[in-house]
Amino acid sequence: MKNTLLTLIVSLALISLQAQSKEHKISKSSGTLVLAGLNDVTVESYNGSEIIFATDSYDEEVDERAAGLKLVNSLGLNDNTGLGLAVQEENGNVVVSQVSSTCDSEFKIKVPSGMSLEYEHTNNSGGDIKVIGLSKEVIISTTYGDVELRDITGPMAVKSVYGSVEAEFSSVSQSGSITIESIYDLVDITLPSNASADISMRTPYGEIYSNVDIDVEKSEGMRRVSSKTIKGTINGGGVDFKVKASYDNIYLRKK
Amino acid sequence: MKYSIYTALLLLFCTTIQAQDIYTKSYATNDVEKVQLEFMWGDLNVTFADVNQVEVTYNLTVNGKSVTDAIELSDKKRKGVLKLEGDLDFDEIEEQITLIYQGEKKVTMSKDEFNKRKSSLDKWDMMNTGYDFDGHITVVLPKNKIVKLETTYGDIEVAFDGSKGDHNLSVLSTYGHVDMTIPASISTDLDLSSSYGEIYTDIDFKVNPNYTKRQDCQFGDHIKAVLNTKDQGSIALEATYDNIYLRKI
Repeated sequence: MKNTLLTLIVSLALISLQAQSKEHKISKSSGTLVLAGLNDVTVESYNGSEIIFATDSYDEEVDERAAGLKLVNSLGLNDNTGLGLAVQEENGNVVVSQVSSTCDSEFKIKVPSGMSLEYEHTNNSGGDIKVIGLSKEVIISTTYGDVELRDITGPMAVKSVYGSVEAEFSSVSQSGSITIESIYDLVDITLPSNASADISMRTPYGEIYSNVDIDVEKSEGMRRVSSKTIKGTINGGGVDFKVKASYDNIYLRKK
Repeated sequence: MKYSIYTALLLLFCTTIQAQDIYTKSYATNDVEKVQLEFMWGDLNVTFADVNQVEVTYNLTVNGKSVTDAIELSDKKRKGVLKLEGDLDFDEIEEQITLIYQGEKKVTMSKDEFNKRKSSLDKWDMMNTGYDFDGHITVVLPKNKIVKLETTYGDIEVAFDGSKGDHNLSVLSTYGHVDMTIPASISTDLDLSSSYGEIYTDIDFKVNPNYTKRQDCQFGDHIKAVLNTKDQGSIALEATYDNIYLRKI
């Protein structure tokens, strides 16, 4: 009886929390999702035909004074989602800008598996992005944020100036090059054992650690051991795979 | 907005309204082009009328008591500007002590009473010293003047019907919100800015394409826009730490 009552109470609490999470959906399953300046965001691929935007708002106060009014910003954009985001279609792509000026916003976006992703963030608040399951092109440029990529394949161009980049590949797509870079923080990559690539890793001021079998480039039968650049092939070679961490370490792991 | 002011803590907490006295004063404006009002304490409510004066009405209680004697309202006329500054002399007002028990129950008393009863009171969890403040300032302004309104700790609400030709209004609240109503049919240049709040409106205006400041959550938002035809007047609203609401009548 006690367990039943406890279960009921917990369930009611969870339902209450879920009911307060806000969502906005648009029908779109191709093209590129372009995220311009969103502070902290998780983008997850799924087998659907809608882009689903969500933010948890159960700890936010509703501004009753703003009832009937719309949120505006200096870019001339209006919140057309109810989540502090402006969503527009431009040239077959979906462009999303943050209208709300709060630095604490966190967004979760589910994107159909046929879509590519572009993310740009330059100011020094927020800028963390987590990407899960995308198999189309991913382009990320963030100044202060950390980048976390899970269950991804490439192709991609990912760069953070002050943040780290962690990437765990489910497979390595051969359809386009992969470039992963952090200027001032570490890069940590995990590859499946059957990944094939022409790999180049460079860190002028850090170290490179790896347990991946790399067939290192040789010159006249000799491999260079005195450089902070490692070039070679994995599993016989494949797509161009460039990794750079200018002032920190590179970690290349096998699953 | 109601306030509770504590000497050791940040300001702006809520309280209750009790019996009030009203303090009213008027200032002629025939000989000035600009009216500038600055109030440290109190929420400001402004309307416009076909009059040749500024009428200021204070409705104020501190610690549940009317404190019109503590109102400091000074006026200066210089170079075509009437400037009114409103403040409170807290030396005239006795502080009160609020004792908090178990995070909820509050017991309030004067400092004198506390000192007399201190040894017999139940042990409190927290003690605050300061003032419970509730102030409302109602102002009626003449329609044909350049107007500048400022509050530090109060909200500002303005109803402007735009009925007298060119206008030039500037409204700033540091810690409160700014809520203004205008006709959607008037022509005006708009300048809306908030460093830590949001900007809301139900009016369709065009953001100035020659001035766009990329919105940044750390540095707020600053919008310059035109409503209908440009260069027909100017409305500038700023709420540094709170929101701006711009509504149509």
